[in-house]
Amino acid sequence: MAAPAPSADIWHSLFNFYLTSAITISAVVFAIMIYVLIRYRSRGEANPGDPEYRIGDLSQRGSVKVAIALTIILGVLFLGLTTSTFSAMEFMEEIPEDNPDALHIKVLAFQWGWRFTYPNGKTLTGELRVPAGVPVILEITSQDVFHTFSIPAFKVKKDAIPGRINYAWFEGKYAGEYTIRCYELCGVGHAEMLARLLVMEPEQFEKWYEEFSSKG
Amino acid sequence: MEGKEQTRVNPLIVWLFTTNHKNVGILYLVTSLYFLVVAGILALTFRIQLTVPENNFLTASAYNQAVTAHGLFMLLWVVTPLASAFANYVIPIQIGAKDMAFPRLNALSYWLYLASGIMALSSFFAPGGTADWGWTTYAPLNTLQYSPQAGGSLMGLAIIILLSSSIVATINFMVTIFRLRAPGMKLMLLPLFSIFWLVTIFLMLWAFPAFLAPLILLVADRVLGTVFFTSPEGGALLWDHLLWFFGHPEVYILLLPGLAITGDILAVFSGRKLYAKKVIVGALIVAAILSYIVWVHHMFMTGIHPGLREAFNITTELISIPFGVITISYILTLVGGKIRFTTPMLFAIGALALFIIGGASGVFNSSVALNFGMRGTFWVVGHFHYTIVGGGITGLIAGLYYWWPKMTGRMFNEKLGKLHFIIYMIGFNLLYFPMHALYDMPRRIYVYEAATGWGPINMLITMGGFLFGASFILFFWILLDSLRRGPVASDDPWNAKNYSIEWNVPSPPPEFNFPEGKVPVITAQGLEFRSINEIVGGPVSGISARIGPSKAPNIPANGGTPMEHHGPHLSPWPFVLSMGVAMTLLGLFFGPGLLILGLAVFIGSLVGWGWEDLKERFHVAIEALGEKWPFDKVENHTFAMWVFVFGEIGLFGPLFMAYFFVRANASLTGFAWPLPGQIHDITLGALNTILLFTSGLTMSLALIGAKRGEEDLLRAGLVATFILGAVFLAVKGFEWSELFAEGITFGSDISASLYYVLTGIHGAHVLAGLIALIYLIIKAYKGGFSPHRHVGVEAFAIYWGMVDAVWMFLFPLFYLI
Ligand code: HEM
Ligand SMILES: [Cu+2]
Ligand SMILES: [Cu+2]
Repeated sequence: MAAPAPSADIWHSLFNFYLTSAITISAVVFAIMIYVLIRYRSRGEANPGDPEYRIGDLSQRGSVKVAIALTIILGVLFLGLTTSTFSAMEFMEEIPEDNPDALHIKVLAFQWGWRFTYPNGKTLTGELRVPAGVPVILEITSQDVFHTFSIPAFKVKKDAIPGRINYAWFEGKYAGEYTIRCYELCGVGHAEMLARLLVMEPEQFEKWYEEFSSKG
Repeated sequence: MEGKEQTRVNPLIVWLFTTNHKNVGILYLVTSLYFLVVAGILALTFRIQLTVPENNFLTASAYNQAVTAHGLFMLLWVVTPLASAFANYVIPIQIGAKDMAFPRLNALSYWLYLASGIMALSSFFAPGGTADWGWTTYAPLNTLQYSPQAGGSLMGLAIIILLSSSIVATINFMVTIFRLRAPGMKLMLLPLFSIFWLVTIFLMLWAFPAFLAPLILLVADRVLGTVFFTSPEGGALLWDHLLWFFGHPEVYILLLPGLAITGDILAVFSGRKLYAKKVIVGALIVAAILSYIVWVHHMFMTGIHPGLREAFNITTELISIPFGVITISYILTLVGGKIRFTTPMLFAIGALALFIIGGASGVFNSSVALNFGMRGTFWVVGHFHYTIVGGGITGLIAGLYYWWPKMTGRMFNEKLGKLHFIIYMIGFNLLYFPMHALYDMPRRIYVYEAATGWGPINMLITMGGFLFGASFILFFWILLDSLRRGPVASDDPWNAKNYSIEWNVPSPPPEFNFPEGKVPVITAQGLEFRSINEIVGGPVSGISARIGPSKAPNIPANGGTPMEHHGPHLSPWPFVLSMGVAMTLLGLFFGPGLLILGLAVFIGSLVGWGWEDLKERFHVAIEALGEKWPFDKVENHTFAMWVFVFGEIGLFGPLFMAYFFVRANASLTGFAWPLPGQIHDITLGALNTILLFTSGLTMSLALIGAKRGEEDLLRAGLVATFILGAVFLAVKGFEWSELFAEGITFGSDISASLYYVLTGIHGAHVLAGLIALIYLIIKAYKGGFSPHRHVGVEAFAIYWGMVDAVWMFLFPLFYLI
């Protein structure tokens, strides 16, 4: 099933890439470990024999070449993963400010809920309505404590910090209903700090927005 | 001989007044296991709450308190103290010393730890309950406005005392490991546990004071009404930076001891040398250094500049490399060995396996992009439990099984040990692995809707939790059973005597660890015990005995101490002082009677301690005869003071960073910072600068007097220093009272808060210095110093120099710019 937002698409493919790499690498390491444990298990229990180590022995086992090779392999692997992250990060963070169609919403977190202010100056509390297929730019802040704004299904997340404004953006691909949640402990109401995200067909949204703007 | 003497002392007195590293180690062990049980039960209660959706077993407030206390207890009162238990018990023996460098300070570390633990537990009973803001204590939720309960402040104070205890321990271990090693015991010859512990305390030396700094600011906010975390110039991000600057080194502090034990055990039970030990140690040092420059990976969502985030993404990935190298080296260690699957070995293998999984999930976290999903979810909870519990605590459990016969003289039931391992591993993985599947579920929510579909996985997790808990019941049963009727352990039940020294002495070891009158000497042939005279008398073949006869410490032939007033190794003051501290601080919350009593006990214990010193009633000769590289030239007390000063940099550094952070933000928020001379009188500031500077000179004169044996100069210098310091404080007090009269109080604005708290902390250092000076002056008038014995003066001169230096920064920051 395709994800409901481009950001989630990117996130999931990156996640799958990390997951595949992680499983492969760990599988290799675990396979070696299990092989070694079985292959070198002690058979004659009674007398383990003389160990190789001795107190005062400074001589080293192992070779520096192995260590260097290992470092290079690990370095290439990890930094490879990192570069794949950066392109995803660019997409997820590049606020589409130049897009004239973008919808600008101010998000205010408070104990315990979310208030959304539209370009017309009107606010909704506990619900955010946006059109599908249009980028939405969020200006996020908090009126009291540290909260974290997130639409988990879209893999959008940003901290809501009093005295600061943070930016995030998302785009819903299809009409539907999603959850907005807080992801930083913010007091006894943290668990219930939810809001509804309603992604609407653009025409429907237009209609609603007009009504919303003209209402007293 | 001491042994007989000691049996006459009431055992309760022995345990309360002991300063013997092995007894202190056992105290640490018992106490940390107690807190493990407390924190574990807390965890089970909130796991019950999460078992099914929309549950109402706990209220939100109870849940938040439980989850906060669980985290704080586990991180601060369980893992590191459990590691300290082994460090105390084993490290002096592993390095070949008869005890820690400063036995009384060692006891003080323990008793302060217990005092802090009592305070933390009491915070549950303070009005409004304990801290409920999560262990990370994010601002401004942590301020009075949003969390008014007194227990939160008490918890803050408890952590401050705990950190002080750790800083004392850090200094003691630093001196011990660097300066008390046996002849021939080069650093690289030490087992991994000792080496890793050394790196761990290096991390502690800067990380713990760095946590002390924001906690002091927080307690000031909550008790004095300053505005560090409520004002926009400080606020949430100030806390975040300071917390995580401590936080990342802290996670390695938690991990390294267990990881080290794992390595040692893998080598011992495969009969193989560690693979590429030098590479392992090198990788460890690289990781330790890197750990100071990755903290922003905990702040990827705070809106910090993207370039910064990419940089921290890279440093975080880099840090995986050394750990990868260590892991592979551990596995390669086993190659070619004869692996014995004893209980300690099984737990070591388990620790390694779990750590690999935790490392793998860490790599996901390091990605800024993936963090849009992971941050603040159960995925992170899974990750850090695999690393800290899986890698760290599992390793420590391996260590407990490994050293148990040494510490108690008893073997445990191997079959049950293996059963424990199996239940432990199943429980652990059932508990923590499914958390990765909850990568959308927020951490620290006390309830969730059924529609989220998180129910079944949570059910599984809770079941795993109870199984994991059950494994600990079995664990404790195995230990008690061993104490009751375990077979007597030999000196070397694991065939590890060629690996490290502790397996070459009886189980449990005698009071001064080694055969009477002998000390361990390491040569290329191995370990030998030689008589002390042989070493003190002159250079011993094959070793570098750097101590000439003139500097030779006077060690009685029996290797112990002359019988002293309190008996060997006993002093009441560490215990009494710590209880005084606890009573005083608890008195702030539970009544002035307790407060006054506590203060009396505290002051009395300072006097008592000083008196014990003046009378030289407590004397355990532990001067080492062997390796001191690279600190051969300094004396123990002076070295300790240098380490302390280093730690102070770790405290004042973050405080000054807070100052600059606030100043930088002030220009953004438009806060009008007071102009020079507008509020603080430059003349008075300059006067104080001159006073303190002059006192530095008089202190130098005192030191010269001490070195030359010119008693008059020494006394005059000390007295002059005291007077100058006292006048400094008086001027400071005058300035404060003037400001208060003008209506400028702690909470007037952020600049006032900074001024009061920073100069207040500095003033407290001056005050502590004056108290120490009283002691030095009395001792000087009693003729207690000579050209050969003046370490007290020398150490104090270093301290006083630091106090001076800090003021040289404070003066311009508050008066001139
Ligand atoms: C392979 C190396 C590791 C990497 C790359 C890594 C990376 C990270 C990252 C990026 C986070 C922040 C996650 C977030 O909040 O979104 C994190 C959290 C954490 N890590 Fe690691 N980590 C590694 C190993 C470790 C180790 C060895 C430990 C401890 C022994 C550890 C303990 C923790 C803890 C306690 C947290 C959570 C802090 C909190 O939010 O409460 N990690 N790790
Ligand atoms: Cu919240
Ligand atoms: Cu970290």
